[in-house]
Amino acid sequence: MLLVAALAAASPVLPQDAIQRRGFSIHITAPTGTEFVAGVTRITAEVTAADPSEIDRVEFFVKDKLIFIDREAPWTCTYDFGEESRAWVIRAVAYHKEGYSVSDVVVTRKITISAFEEVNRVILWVTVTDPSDRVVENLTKDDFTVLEDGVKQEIREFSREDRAITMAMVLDSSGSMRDSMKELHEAASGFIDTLRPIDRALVIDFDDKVFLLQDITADLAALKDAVTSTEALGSTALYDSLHAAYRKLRGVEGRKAVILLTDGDDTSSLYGYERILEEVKGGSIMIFTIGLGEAKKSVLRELAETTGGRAFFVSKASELAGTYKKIAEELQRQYYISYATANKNWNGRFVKLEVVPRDKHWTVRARKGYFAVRGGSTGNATPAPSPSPAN
Amino acid sequence: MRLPPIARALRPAAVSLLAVSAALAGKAIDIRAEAFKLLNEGVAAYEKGDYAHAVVALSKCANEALNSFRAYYFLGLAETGDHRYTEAIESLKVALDLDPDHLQANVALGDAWLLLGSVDEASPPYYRALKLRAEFPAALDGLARVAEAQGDDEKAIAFYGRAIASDKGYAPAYTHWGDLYLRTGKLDDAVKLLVEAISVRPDFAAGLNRLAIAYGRLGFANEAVATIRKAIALEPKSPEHRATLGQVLLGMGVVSGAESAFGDALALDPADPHAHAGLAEIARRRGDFVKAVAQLDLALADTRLDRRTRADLTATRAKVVAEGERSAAIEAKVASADATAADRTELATILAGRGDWTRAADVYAAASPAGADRETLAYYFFRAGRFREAYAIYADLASAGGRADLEVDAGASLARLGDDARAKDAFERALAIDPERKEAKLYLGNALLRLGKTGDAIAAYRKFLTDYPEGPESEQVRRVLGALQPAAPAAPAAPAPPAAGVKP
Repeated sequence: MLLVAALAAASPVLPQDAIQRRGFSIHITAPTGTEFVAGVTRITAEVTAADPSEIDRVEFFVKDKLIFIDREAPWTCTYDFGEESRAWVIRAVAYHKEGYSVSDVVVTRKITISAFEEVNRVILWVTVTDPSDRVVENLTKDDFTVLEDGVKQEIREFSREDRAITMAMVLDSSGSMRDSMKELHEAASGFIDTLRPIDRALVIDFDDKVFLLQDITADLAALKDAVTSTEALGSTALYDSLHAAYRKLRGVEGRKAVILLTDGDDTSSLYGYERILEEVKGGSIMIFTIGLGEAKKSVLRELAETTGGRAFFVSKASELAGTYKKIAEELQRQYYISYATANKNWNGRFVKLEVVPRDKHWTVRARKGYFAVRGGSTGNATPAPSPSPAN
Repeated sequence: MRLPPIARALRPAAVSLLAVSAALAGKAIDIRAEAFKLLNEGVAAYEKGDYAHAVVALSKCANEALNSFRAYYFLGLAETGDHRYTEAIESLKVALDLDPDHLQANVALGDAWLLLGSVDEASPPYYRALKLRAEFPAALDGLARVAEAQGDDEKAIAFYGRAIASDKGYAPAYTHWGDLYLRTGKLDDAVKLLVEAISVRPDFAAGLNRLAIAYGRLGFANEAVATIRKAIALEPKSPEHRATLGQVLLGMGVVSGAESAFGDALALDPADPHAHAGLAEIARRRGDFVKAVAQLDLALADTRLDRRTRADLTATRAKVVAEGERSAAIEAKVASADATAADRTELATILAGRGDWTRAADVYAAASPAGADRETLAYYFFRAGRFREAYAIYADLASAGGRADLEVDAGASLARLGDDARAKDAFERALAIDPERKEAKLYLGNALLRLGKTGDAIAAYRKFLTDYPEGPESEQVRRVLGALQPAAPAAPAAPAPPAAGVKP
């Protein structure tokens, strides 16, 4: 124990020991631990001292490497985090002129990117409807213009989409659904009947717990067996169920969709709305939502519209069959568009996409954008030019 | 029937559960019930150290109960235990999606990245844990291992020190710190830390495992075997402890026992790389290089290997192949009488490395070494148990005077021949040349004891303890003194001079 005590006593007191000491404190205000960072990003710390002139300096570290020493407020610097999506450890250490120090650390998040290929090819699945809400068919490439942050992109591939689709049927079986279960079972079974032999689906059932009732299969009988076995009980873990559906579909190639039915707002998810929204923005999976009765419309609408899906709202369970039929029709009459993005700035921002139809009376549904982050590259972060370099 | 209070309290819940069960039917209820059963089964298997079984049960559970933090968390832990680091990372990421503020899950994710060899990815989860709880010992311990993996031992020691300062009862930090010293050859310091790990947590099998290895390297065979047996008793289903027993026995030269222990490890995990490596070493020592390489290939075939173990095994394989080729070439020369003295010396070195001391001595003797090289020949004789030949060389070399180490070696050879009176004289001559010679002081006590001069032996041992109060030998001396002092006239079984002390 003597050795241990002696060596422990000899250990240097590392800067992250305390964020506050004798009225002297530091707090990294940007970026925060809930953000992901990429590209040139500003790091800012707030330092508090009884007498600000007693602050000697602030040192900034990324991955344990000193990147910048700031000797005057505001305590900030920039750093190029590269194009790769990864978790970064950012530390800031403030030194008091009396010699002691305080520090703060932020660990940024890594975002899961599934929408973007390394070849910079952006893929869109597009649905077009006329003012009577009828699907518009037989369009050509010239009927569309794709804008990325307002800049026109050149469409490389265009076709009527008739390839296979993989779907996650996500069914709310919380207690409030009790009176609607019979109609739900019939409507969901009817939807399964619309699947083509090349299509596949899985079934997720959720209340406060989320269960996979049937893994991905083209076996219609097994899918029907799953959707008709759900029973109403418990509260509503809506976001957890979506997160689970995304996980299940993540490794699947090709066109993918989530068909979510719920009659309420989330009440018991472990996964928050902001996180699920970020996940759906970072993916290429379409979400079709069906809100029954008191469902929270704003949430379901945002999830659907962000991904190029569609939100439906019905007041009675008897209307479910027609809604499922409409979704099936839209999925089978989509257009496939791909283009090579002209984007050169991979800084983690959300790049806005817009598909503009030739006929202004048409309504176009496609995903609203993607995160400008490389999926699998090994970004080489280097210090950005700063007002006073590290010494 | 009158129910006990707990059962009475639970009855309403049980009744409502039955009502729910009755209401539900078909696939949905079957899956819910199965997931619950699988979770319990998997966690129980994990806690028993049966990781392979735990992975099977928890994988099924996690594929059904899609937002069960416990299913994904324990699955990640079990996959790490089963060396499936890539899968563990995915499971732990899902667990942390469901509960980002779970301290141990963050640490477990860092551990899995570290074991996979991705040092950069390991740091963020450890720092997240520290952000959630300042000076959290498991996170500091993780960052210490990250620093070690980056080759910064000084920083690693600082983090281990902080982990222990934060929680004096945190056994893994002592163990990993001890492991660092084992790696850097500071065996005495390693033993102190590992003993501390066991004293703060006597049931910490990983600490016992490392302590056994440290004892083995120090030549304390009995302590090593006793220690690893404790680890086996605590975790009977862990192949790692059986493989360590094999290594310890192999170090002692108990080849059949080692072979049996490695076999036991492979019965628990047919892919255990350390057991395969141990069997490869046995084959190498027997000169069966083909089998040794095949055994190493079996170890390398395991896709679960962490990066460091794979690199070590690959390097070992290359050495074995080279040694096999070189050995065959020189043996052919020796057989055809074309071998030069240099060839014989090289072959003797190879044979000594395989533990074939008798052939090493004979081959080297045929090379007619002269001068200082005779010391090596004496050592081969000593290790081969040919103490008379060893003594003759050591005594001849020592007669030139001025070298305490040669007197110690000569004395140790005499002691092994049972000539304790002359051994005592040799140790005294060594101390006359170098009064600080540690082995001479210890062996002198041993010789006096065997000569029945208990009082003198006690005095010699006390002097040894005064000069060297710490270290594994001192612990042994204390035990001998403890046995001697209550009944001084009766001489206990004599401790043999450790061969490891004869020549470095």
